[in-house]
Amino acid sequence: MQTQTWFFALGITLVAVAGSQAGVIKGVMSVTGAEMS
Amino acid sequence: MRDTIARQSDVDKNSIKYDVAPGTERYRHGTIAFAATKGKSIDLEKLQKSLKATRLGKGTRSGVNYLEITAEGDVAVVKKDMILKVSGTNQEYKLVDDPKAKPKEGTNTPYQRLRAALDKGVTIANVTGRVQAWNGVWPKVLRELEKENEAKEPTPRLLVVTEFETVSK
Repeated sequence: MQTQTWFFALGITLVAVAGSQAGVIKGVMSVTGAEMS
Repeated sequence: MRDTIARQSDVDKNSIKYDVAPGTERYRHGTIAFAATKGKSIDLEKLQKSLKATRLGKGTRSGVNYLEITAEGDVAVVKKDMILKVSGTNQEYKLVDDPKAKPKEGTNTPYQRLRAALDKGVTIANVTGRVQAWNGVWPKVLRELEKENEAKEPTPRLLVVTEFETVSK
């Protein structure tokens, strides 16, 4: 994780910054149905 | 579904874990866990389009119970709302509490704990939550998602917070 940065502007407070910039890193899908197999 | 997920260029094919309830019943529950290829972000809109192109987009009684994602990004407090801006994308999620959550007395929901952490200035590494609208019979879900994606002024999709991680110092 990298540097934490703070911004204060127009009522918007950026309170946290994650490091790797990867975005959506994983998912779990819960499903029903025959097409799963 | 599993194969469609595995075919996504931003999904690590070796990460796919598939569990299905025992039995031979046609519509039994299962879960498909997957992870992004290193350095990439899983594009949910692309995944949705790929699923729609299969017979899931046409006629089936199978469905999705939920889609839970873990995303890294910036969590901003805008007025009273917490907004997650996903790193490396233009996606935003409005973080919300589980309306059905009934935490034991003296404990807080993940959403409440996240809010408290932000108020203390703790740096958030990632947020896990269930994405709004990924629930129901496939053809209807995929149709609704497509409609939302094509909206002229899309609003941030809701993400029901189930977990989060902070940056260890």
